[in-house]
Amino acid sequence: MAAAAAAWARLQQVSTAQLGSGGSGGALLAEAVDSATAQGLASLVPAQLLGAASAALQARLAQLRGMLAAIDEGLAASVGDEANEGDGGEEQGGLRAEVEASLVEVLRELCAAVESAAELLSQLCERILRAQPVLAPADRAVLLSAGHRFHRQAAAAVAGAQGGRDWAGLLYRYYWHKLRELSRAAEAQQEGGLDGMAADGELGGHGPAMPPGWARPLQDVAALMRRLGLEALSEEAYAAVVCRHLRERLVNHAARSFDQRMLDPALRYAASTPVTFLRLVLPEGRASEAALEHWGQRLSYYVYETVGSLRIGDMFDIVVDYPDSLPAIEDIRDCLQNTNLHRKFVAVFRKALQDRLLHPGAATSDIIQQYVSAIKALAHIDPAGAMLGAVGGPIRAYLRQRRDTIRCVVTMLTADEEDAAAASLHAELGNAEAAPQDCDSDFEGAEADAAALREAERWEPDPVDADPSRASSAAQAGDVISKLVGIYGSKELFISEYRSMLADRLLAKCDYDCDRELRTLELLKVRFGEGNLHNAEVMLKDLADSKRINTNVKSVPNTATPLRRRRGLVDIHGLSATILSQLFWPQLPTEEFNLPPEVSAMLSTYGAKYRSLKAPRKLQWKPNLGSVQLELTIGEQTLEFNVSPFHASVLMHFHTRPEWPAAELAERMGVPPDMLRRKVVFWINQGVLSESRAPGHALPVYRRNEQLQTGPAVGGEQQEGMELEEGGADQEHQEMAAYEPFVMGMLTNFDALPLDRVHNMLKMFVSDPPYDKSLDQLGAYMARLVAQEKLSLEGGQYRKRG
Amino acid sequence: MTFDVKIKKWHAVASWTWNAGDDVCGICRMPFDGCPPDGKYPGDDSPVVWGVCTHAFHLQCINRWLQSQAEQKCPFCRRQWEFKQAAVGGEDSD
Repeated sequence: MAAAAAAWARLQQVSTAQLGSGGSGGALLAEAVDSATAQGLASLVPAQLLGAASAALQARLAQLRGMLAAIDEGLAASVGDEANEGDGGEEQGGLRAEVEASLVEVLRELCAAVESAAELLSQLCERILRAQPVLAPADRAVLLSAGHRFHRQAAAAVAGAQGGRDWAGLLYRYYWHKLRELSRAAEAQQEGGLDGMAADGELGGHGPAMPPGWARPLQDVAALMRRLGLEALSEEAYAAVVCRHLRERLVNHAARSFDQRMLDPALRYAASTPVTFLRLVLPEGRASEAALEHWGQRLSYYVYETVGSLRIGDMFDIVVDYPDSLPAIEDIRDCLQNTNLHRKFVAVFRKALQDRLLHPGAATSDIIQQYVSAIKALAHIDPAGAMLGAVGGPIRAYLRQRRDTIRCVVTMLTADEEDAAAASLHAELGNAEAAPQDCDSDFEGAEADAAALREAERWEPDPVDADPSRASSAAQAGDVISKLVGIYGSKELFISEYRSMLADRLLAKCDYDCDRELRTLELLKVRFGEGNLHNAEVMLKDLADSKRINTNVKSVPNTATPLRRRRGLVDIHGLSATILSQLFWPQLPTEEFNLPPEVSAMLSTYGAKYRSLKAPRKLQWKPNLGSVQLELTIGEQTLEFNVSPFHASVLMHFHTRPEWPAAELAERMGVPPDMLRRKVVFWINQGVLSESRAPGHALPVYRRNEQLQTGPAVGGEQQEGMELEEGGADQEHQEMAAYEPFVMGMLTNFDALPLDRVHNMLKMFVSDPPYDKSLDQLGAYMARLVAQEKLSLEGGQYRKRG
Repeated sequence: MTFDVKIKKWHAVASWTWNAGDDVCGICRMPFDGCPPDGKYPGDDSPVVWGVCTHAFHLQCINRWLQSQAEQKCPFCRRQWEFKQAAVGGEDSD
């Protein structure tokens, strides 16, 4: 028993001493182990040896820790902080060779210590096994695995109490440093060998020429970490470094230029420098090829994701720059195909639109322009149109709230070429791809069925990530016009707006030249069908007919047979006319006033001649429409004006008489004095007339100026604007008046009805004129009827009075 | 001391009408100033004619009516249909 105790004590002493010294003097230890084994303590030996070796390693680590800290400091000083090392890396100086060398040295020492101790342990255990062939299976297992266990323990010990955080940081900095050196060298080489095309691709396998011996320490560090069993730590560190390197490069090199592809260079780059770097840190041999391939995929996914995120963040500006930003859009398309960023794309782009576009500060035309660009851009990214549905929804909803949306769309469609934005939209009209008759609305009939069938035949499932709240069936990405027309869900509104704009444009013409309008009309006809645009066609024909008739009328001499008995025929040389088929034009503003006699004479001469040509048709003049070119000589100055007939008429009265009391002139012209004033204000602002108010008189006196006055403007513009507004409201009420009998009839039959039912019934039953008003418009009109005491409104129900 | 207004060009706007009294054609119930169902353009392409009985129709409409009937009668008053000579313009005041 005492012998056993002595042998054990000896083993303890020798093992501590021998293992502590680096595990060199194996003979003494072997002897001690032998004697312990001989005393039957074989099963206890491995634990003792393991404990002693670990303690020895700990002691060694404690010695090295100081050195490691110094190395870490050295690395940190040269790498700098994560936040600010995007640029300015130059000044921080390179990795100091001695720091690197000492890192390798420390690792090598550690490795040697661990490995020799493990080796010794294994040898001793084998020795015990040989000496004691008969052992319990559990003890045998312990003896056999002692070397491995030590390795594991050693790895944990080296990693330290914090689970390797220090190491991770140190390795991260070290790898970062090496990678940066490598990438700088690669860039320098690329710049040096300026036939860049080749250099870009060539980097793939070989990497840049680094100074001899540069790669050695790096390979050593990686290999030693592997040998220490800390591969996971090391991999984590170099993976982080490579990703960060890539991201920084992408952010610095490629962002904010939308006219160049970013993805392909990024992918090429990911396959060059980072792969070269990885080739050095990964173990050599056949396994390395597979690992490298795996890494290649990982890196390219990372590139897709990073480029995608970067581009998505800039999507709003990309759309603004469309079509110059097409390369960026293609980047996004490819990234989305290879990643699952769809949801992020939709969320980010929607947010950007909400924040930057859909607010009161943006002009409607800008919103429409951006919407158009977005439609086109998204057509590249997602031809199925599902994402457009998700992204465009808020824009459409917002545009629906704006009153001038349709007008803007129509203006942009029909505008002259000068406006670049409008021209692009106009060009869109001619886009032959567009399916005719197909707007984004639910209109019915055989066409719709056919369209639905066509649609069904080329149906494809939505992308998985599409917003399921919107069906994509109606969404044909890219057909810009139907998207725009579909904002309001019906083409009728659009067409009626087009008509009224066309009317304005045609009435403003004096030269009957409407080639462009004709072309636009032809394009619209392709899209909306001839029937819907019949009115517009007649309007344009009126212009062409007017031109011919005008020539014919003027060629009728005053002495022609049917006119012989007419008196007061005058020269109509200066008169031309646009003759309308009134039923086919939208409601035109009417304003009755008396024209000056000389003009009346011209008009009636023109009318008589027209009648002589076209009997039994005759003309009804619309005195307020048209335009007048006149030349005003005032003092020494001669001025040219292009004004409305009313303005011209006012001025003509001053030709013969220098001043007119407002009341008298108003009576002469057959208009109320306040309306007269609204018109006179124009001439006052031009400095042609002046206004004076005698005390005690309610109405002013207008006087012509003998010299052109440049005085302060009277508040005229605003009044003109108000006049237009009023005119608009009046006109609307006039249009609504057509429905009054229907409303009255309904309320006779039904006693009382709420507004929406009246609206729906009008929509259902009234076809002549077709009921195309909104609920709001009807509400306003009903309110007017209530005010006129024709109806009463109680509890939301309209009733007939009486 | 001069104040001279010289009209260089007056561009006026007018609408035409058949001046047919009744608003719609008795056959197609479309306005005279519009076009009959098969007409495309109003005015010259959709002329209005009067019978001696003073009833007026679109030319297309009355022609079709007369072709479909054995006897040439006005669809309104059943008198023998005869086209009235168009009034030569200028006499009646406008």
